[in-house]
Amino acid sequence: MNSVILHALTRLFFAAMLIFSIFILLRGHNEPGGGFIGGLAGASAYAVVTMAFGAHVAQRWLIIHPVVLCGVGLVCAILSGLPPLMGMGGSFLTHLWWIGEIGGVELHLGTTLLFDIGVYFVVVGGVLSMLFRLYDTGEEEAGW
Amino acid sequence: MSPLLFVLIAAFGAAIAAPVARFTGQAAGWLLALIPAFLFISLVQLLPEVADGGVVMQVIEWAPAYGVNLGFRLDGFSVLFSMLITGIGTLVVIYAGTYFSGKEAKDRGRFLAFIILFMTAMLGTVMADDLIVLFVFWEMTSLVSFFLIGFKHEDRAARDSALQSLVVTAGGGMALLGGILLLGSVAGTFSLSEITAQAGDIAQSPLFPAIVVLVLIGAFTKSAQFPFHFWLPNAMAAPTPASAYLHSATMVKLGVYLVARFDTGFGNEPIFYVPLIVFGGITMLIASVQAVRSTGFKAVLAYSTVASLATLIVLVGIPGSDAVKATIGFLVAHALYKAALFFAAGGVIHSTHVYELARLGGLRWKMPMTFIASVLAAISMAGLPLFLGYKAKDLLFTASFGADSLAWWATLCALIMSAAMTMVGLLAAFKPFWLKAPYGEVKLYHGESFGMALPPLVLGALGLLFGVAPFLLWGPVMEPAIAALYGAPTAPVDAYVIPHVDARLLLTIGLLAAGLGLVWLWTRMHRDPDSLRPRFMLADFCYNKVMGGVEIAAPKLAKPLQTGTLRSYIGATVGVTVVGVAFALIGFEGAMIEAALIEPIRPYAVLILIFVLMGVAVAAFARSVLITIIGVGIVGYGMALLFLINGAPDVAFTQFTVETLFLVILVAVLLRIPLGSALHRPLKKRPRSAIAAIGFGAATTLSILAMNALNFDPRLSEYFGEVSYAEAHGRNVVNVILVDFRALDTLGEIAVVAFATLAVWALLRRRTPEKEAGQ
Repeated sequence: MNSVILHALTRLFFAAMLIFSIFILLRGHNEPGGGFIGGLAGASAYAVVTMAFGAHVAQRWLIIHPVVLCGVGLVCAILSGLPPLMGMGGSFLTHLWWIGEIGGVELHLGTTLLFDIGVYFVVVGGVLSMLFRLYDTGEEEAGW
Repeated sequence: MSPLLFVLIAAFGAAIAAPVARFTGQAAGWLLALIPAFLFISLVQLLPEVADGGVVMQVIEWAPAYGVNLGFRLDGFSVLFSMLITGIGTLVVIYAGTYFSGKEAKDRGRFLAFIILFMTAMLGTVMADDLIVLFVFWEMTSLVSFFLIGFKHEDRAARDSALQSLVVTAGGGMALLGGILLLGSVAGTFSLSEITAQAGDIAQSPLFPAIVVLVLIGAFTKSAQFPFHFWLPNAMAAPTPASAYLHSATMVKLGVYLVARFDTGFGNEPIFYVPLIVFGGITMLIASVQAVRSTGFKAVLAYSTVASLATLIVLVGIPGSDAVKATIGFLVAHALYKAALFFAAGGVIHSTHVYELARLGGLRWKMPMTFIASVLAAISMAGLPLFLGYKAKDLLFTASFGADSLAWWATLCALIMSAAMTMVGLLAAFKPFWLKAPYGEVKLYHGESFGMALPPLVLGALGLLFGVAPFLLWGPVMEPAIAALYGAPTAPVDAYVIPHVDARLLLTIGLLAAGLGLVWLWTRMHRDPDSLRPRFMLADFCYNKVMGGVEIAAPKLAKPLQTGTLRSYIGATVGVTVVGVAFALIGFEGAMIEAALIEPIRPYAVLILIFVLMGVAVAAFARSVLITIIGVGIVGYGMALLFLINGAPDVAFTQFTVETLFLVILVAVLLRIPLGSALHRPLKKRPRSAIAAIGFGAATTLSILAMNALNFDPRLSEYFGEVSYAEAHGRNVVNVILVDFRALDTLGEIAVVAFATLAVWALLRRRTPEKEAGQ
């Protein structure tokens, strides 16, 4: 769409929405949020770019191909479940936890985070695959 | 090294193959060969551990609730098989690196990655103790085989052959899975070693015949036994390094491997071994005849492979320790000489671009190393003294003569098969090199290269080395395998070097004469150009008829259900829901209305409800579909608000984002699809839609009222509320359930999303405007 206001605001919105989506992803374990919702928010950020500048620009901003992103997410989720099989005890997808303190704040880090990041990637990749295909004007064919 | 480590190192090799090929160019094959070579040396170091019936076990819990463990077990037989896989694998990787030297680095990398991935799957299959693990790796070999046969994917014949092999082997895999599940339910375990230990009890089970049939279908499809023998010769569409590795030396032997494993426990049950001898024998005969009929260089070798696999199946079937010795001897001898012949054939085809054996000739001075390698391999294949093949043939006839039942049949098939093998060996060694080319001199595009001549030379020389120095092979490698397979120590194999002058030598001479006679017959049959055109193959014909029938029957079945109109799909969904809810609510005794009236009426909820009703009105009465969609969106946002104020922020947030993305995507769809008049649907055409909508709404309302009237069972939510932070370090119970307690479900769901994405990406490819207008 050729609107100066939309173009100008898009950059702002995009950055804000993407950071917000990552925030939602990370806080998901204790507050409302998580990989699925975060992924949808992240996809929305790119949806704004798609509507403003077109699918090819959004694809460039994504850097990685959306279908590949789906695969990366799936691999992340599977990897997060593997440590127990490597002799750390438990069965597949038994998550491990690391509890420590950084600057006085107690931190609970688990392999669940990697799993959630995987969900995030799959959702972003899945939604954007559909979106990019539908908004593809066919003007550029840069290796699609 | 633990078994799992072998598999992981191989998998690592597959992962790095493509980048390595890109950055190292022509040296890729030699570099990547270090991985299988390292695994091979590690296996040699393991030999002492399995020497006297020793076993290396490794069990990792995988899904203990289902009794499935990542169980690996290395005994003499698995080590021998793994040595074949990694040893020949090393040579194949070197060979393939040179074979694809003229191609782009991308192709080379892809091929090498598949080959090493295949090696990973093979190692996993033969090292697995748990049958479920074995099955997973087994199917993986079928899949990689599919990609390798269809490697030249621009070629229709290659694609068809790839699909055929996948249909046959993966279909057999399904039968095998059925057999494994039945076996597991009877035995109470999936561990192969435990099943072997209680084989006697399992054989008494009424399910045992079904198990045998299913497992044999799995083995016969994989090892190309009658009536599934036809896919293997077609699989020769694969590049030659793959043919040598998958379709001769290793993968097709998995069927033999499987029945051999079961034979340790069930070898004395007639219901198990009689089909092996009968079907194996039939396959031996068919393949021998087809080897004489075939013209293609690789096709002749492929049929001789089918015949050899059939021989192994028969040998596994024959009870007794003699047959076990023959199985192991023949297995190794065949792997060495057949892979060498395939390598040599690939070298000749690569240099001449001639695929028919009948056209070749006179190459002996142009490709001397390949010639020597072929002669070495062919002598072993023909079973002449001083070579390993002689010993293997000796053991084969000892076993078939000595069989308790069906000895005449096994011996007859073995005789015919051996004569045909002798013919194939002589043909492969002398026809392209020694005899005159019948259709004028063969043009050479390039000479032989070291990387492609070395592997067959190594294998051919090993056949001679193990023949004259048998102590190198039998004591350290073969005896442990024989003991592991027989399940008890056996008398060592008589590893003589100089043949005894008795009936056996006479047999060798007789077979050589028969082989020479067949060579004469073959050259006569393939003398005129007419003989070079494709022949009618009954099994292929039947396969094509069946597949064609499926293609005709499938749409006839699917059309009535898949009408293609969205309205009928929605109608069916709504109808089933309404009927289902009505059925469930018949005789419902809770007080629906009273339960609903307990809650006070909240003003903000009323406001949101008015907002939602406005959306409903817009959706129902708008003339344009676009505005209808916006109306539905308003309803969605209103619902999300209700969720938000009722303490479900997760659901509310999801609903908001989904509604937004839904709108964005639907608008795109409407802009792209030329709906024309369908965009504006007059009100008088909508009564049926109204009925459906009202019915669906009523059903939903009633079911919610009914749920509200029931006593809520709080056990689950209380449980998760309590353990969520204590065990899973998270206060957001919803998310903790998703990523931790029910993580496997979530993994399944995101896998579905990922695979659907693949399909969406392919299906939504933008078509050209002309085509779009035509739709």
